[in-house]
Amino acid sequence: MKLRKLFTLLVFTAMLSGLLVGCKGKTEDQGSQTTGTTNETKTEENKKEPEENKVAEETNETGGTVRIMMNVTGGKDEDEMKLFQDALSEATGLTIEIEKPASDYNAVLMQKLNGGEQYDLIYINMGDYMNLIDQEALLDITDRVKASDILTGNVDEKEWADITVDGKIYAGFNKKEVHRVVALNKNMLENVGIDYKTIDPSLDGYYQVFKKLKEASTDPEFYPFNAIISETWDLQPWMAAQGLKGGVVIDSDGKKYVPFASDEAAPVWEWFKKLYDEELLDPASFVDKTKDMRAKMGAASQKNAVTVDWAAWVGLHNANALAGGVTPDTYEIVSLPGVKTPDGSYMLAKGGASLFAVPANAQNVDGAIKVLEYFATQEGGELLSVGIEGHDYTVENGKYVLTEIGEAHACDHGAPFPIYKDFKHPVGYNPGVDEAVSYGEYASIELPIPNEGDYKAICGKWGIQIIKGEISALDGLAKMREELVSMGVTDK
Amino acid sequence: MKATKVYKRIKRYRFIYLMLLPVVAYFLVFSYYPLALGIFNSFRQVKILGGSKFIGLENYHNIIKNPLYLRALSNSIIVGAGTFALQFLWGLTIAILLNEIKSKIVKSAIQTATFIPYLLSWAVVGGLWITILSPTGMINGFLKIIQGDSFRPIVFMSEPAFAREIMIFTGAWKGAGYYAALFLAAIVTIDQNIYEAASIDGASRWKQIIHITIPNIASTMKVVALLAAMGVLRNFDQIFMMANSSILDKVQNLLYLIYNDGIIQFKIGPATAAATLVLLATMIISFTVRRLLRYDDSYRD
Repeated sequence: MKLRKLFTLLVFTAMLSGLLVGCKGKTEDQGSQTTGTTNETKTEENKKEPEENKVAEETNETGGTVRIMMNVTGGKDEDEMKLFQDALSEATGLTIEIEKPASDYNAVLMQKLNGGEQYDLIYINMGDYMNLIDQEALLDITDRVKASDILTGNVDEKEWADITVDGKIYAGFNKKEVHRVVALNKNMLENVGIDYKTIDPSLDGYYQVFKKLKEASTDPEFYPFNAIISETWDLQPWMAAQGLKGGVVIDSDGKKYVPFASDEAAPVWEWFKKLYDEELLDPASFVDKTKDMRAKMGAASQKNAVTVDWAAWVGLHNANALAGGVTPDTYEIVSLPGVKTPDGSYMLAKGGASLFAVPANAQNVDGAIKVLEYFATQEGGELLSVGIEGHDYTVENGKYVLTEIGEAHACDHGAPFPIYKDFKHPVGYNPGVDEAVSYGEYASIELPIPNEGDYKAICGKWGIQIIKGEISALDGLAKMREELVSMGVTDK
Repeated sequence: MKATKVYKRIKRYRFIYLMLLPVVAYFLVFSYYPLALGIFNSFRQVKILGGSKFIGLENYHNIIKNPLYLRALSNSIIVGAGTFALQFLWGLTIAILLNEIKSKIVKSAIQTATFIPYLLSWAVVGGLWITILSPTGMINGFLKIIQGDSFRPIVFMSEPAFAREIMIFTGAWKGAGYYAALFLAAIVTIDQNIYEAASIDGASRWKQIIHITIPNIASTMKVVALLAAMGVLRNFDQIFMMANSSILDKVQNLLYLIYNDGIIQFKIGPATAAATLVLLATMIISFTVRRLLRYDDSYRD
């Protein structure tokens, strides 16, 4: 009997201790998920943190621990993330602690913030930025940015303007956002006697190009043109024909509207319909995601010849082809700025910023600003692009040489284009990127809105119906406007 | 007097209660506390870093008057009920047919083949069916063989007319093997003497299935039906993976909207209010199905 009681007690103790391990304190729990440092070390550092911050405040010197919740940026795996963390710590003189969830970043971030976790920097995109400002979850760092020679001097003023909300700044930059361009398969064009530089920059000019490409192809699965129409991504180079800007625009009366949903957009939607009717537009464009489109544009597939994609992807297509032993005489992607606007210019879409914001409950704001400053320097840009010295690259006689790992990481550790305005890429961009980047003067960002998903889904849905001929362009656009208003995306 | 009795009983079984304590604590910490917090938040305007305030039923009011949520409820019920019905019949058919197969190898092979989709995530299954239904996929390939070169591929995944049917079919395809395994487990426990007796009396194989097999697995069917009823409103992964803007109106369900509000837009209050309503709706559906099936009666018998 006694033995039974003892056994029961032992089992109970074991189960209870197991449960308590699961419920251990927040500090330890945070530590267990932090990359690369031992729990013991972190616990000690966390204990030290308030004191160090106090010292930093008193002496006006930045120090202490900076906790960063990161996505996309950093090492490609846990080991490299540790190296990245060490490199960032060494460069800034701070103790950097990075958390990078393996998946479901937004869900993890929301749960952590809501659970009271304290970070000094969090990685977010422009949509999250607007939502978190709305929630008063971010710290206004306008004065700190303005007081920093590095942040004001090294970052283009236009970039700051893009993330200024009601005169306030709440974040610094992860990278410079580039724009999307019209990407073209140069070799396919040459095979039908077209020099891409001579393409007439009008809707009809491109229609003629698509027609020639289709006629010359014997592949029944080949469609000259593809776009991600279901997500309205990216129609800007074509809508430029009518001078219409993508996304939501605010008119002179302060009312929000979507130019792509206006009656002026009808000729462009009808042009898409003509392409679909004549099998020049890939019908999968109604359901394709960017990865599908890129796969079809890649050297291994070549089921499409013209798409709209990021400037960086022009280079990635070429680099991937070269890595696969495909030379530029058989496959090369080049770029153009699309169709001319009525006033003779071009219109391209620039990506919404990817940012490091300072949460309202950040403990080491000075440290966070120091990290943002480092990211805006040549050295910081190199860490975020080329990677970690000795791991991704070595310097031989002043020349940067990529290691095998560095080659595989393709000079992208979160910022293929660093935010530092005078950044000199130590290795050089992939073939075709310089040309694509040169069209940047025509690019502008879309107005950041919290319900961007609704905008894309509504425009995509009615756009597809117009293109399929299920509804006339004018009726479809009227329905599009109506639904945009009902969903609170626009005012008219 | 009563309290003394209770105390005595607790004292008597104290080690059993002690053993139960970790399990109770586990559920309190990991299930009931988040649930209670969610319900609590549904009455508040929640800010992600604190500073929330009590707003009564405003979140619920906003959800109920939001036509998107009403449409999502309808989509959830149609797709959920459709998937359950098809999956149930499909699983039952597989189980009955498997029971008729004499070769053990063939039986195992078919059972494995039908069960595998259940083990795969929706990321895999969704991608697979999107490919099969794409303009260059298998279905369009067959149609092209039948109709010739003039055939224009159908973009099935962008056709609202097919949207719910595709979700119901693919959902049932994924889960039919699982139901089949449950039904087959019940079928093999049926006393073989009953079949022999029926056979001697001249009952055909079909009649044996209708009058012996199905009535004898009724209790398993009730359990499956009840479990399925509890999951009708809980389908998220499939819609998240397979929906696109062309068909969203037809398939966007409650959990998809809750995800959009709560995770994408950080609107915790409305999301938790909607989640609480889903919980209530699930309870109502479960109790209704339980009552309709006379679930408790069968177990009392």
